[in-house]
Amino acid sequence: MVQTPNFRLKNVLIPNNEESFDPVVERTAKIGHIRKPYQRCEGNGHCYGCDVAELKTMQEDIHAKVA
Amino acid sequence: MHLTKELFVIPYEENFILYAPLKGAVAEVNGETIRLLNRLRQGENVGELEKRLSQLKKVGIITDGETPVESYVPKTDFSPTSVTLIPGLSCNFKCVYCYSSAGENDGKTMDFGVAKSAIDFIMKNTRDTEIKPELVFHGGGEPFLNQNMILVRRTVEYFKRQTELHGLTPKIAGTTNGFMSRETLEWIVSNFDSLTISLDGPEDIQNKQRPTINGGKSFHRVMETVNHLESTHFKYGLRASITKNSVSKIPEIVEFFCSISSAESFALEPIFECGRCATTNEKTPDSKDYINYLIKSREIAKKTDRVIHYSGSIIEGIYDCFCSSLDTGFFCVLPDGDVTSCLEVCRESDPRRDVFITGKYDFDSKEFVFYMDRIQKLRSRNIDNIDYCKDCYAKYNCAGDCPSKCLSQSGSLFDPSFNTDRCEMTRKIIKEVLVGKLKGDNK
Repeated sequence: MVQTPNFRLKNVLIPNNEESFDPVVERTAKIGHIRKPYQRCEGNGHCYGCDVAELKTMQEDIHAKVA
Repeated sequence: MHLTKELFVIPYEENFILYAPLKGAVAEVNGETIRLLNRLRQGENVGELEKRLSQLKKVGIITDGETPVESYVPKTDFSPTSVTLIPGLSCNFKCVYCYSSAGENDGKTMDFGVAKSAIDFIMKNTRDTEIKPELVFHGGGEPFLNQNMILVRRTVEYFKRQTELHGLTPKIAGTTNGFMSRETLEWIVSNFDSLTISLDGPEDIQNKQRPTINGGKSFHRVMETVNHLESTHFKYGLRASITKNSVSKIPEIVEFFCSISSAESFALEPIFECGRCATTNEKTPDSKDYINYLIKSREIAKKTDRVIHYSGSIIEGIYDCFCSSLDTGFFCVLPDGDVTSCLEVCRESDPRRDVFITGKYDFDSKEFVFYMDRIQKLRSRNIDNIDYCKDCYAKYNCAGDCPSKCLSQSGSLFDPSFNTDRCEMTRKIIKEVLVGKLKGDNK
């Protein structure tokens, strides 16, 4: 039986150590991507990685929309 | 204070990475922050400690009152504005891993009437929109063989006439093995917008993995094509297939690409064991090797400001569906007029035809007929419906990976659990990209 990967917060148990409790956010970043039901395989597409020539244009489109 | 719904935790050295794909946010936190967030998740009022989380609030990992995550709603109509034509299944190469086993039982070239009707269909869908209609020629064999060129030229001429008639700008692209006559190449440069060439790397790798149909060397002829595209400043891309034998040479392949090409990005794709692999015994690269060499190669590429792509690790956007066969419905026409939603499913003998053949050309009415039940079933295969992926942090970056490979391996479109090696590869690459983002890397 293959185990389903689980990376949810509730799945991460950290031992309790109240005496030195010191939550720290080291750093953050924004990725700037948007949710899109994207057409990654338009015959020049995603699965064969063969739309490299087009990819940049698509990324520019996305970035323009984000901006 | 609420946690954003789609939030994942990835162990990273002594700390943890928080990744909120729908918010486009990433953070590095220590274990005690994870504990604090878990208390928050359980509805506890954490009082003054809230202040410690202000950075997470700033990037959207914590919100004051989140709007619900929108479910993906599949389209119900089928109105593609792009058509991919596979003119024939013949090939002048006999690549050791070819998914289509091109060069074997190849049949005939597409009838012009089929290509013409396909263009008429997308033109109808494009009218009254601002979308550029797109015509793509793709392999199943090599699309630009001499025997296909009468069809290809006639189709391009017809497409251009139609777009001109409707005041639209045509977009024409193709994929090729790069082994073609100079006359064909010059015609492509004059008539196409872009081209993607499959080239597996330096001479020894290319000749071994991508021999000609008679077992000859292909490297020099393909390089002539690359050099011509360079000299004419034509927009093109390079992609290499990586096998178990070539995986350790990824850095060498990338250095080679950087030295011969001005393209800004290159694709490196691990092969799947399918098609001709059954007889050549070519193997998928080991996932750990692939990742290690890919990471090294990205560093090499960065030196000349290039980007390396691997289809499982697209981070620029997040996706509900792996490809357009599952989203809009991929309109790809095979030489005999059948419509396939997957480039891999292009032969009569393919057992996946009942799922991926989504229409056919009716030679009597001269129109396409579509099997909407199959199109809708494919559309239902989005990330919301793949139980195995629901708690994986890469779910929106890989969207359940390739459905046709999933079907052939597990017998179900919705069960990618056979694919743990590739899942592992994808997760490691996504993690590496996220760490890079945290370090300020924008590539």
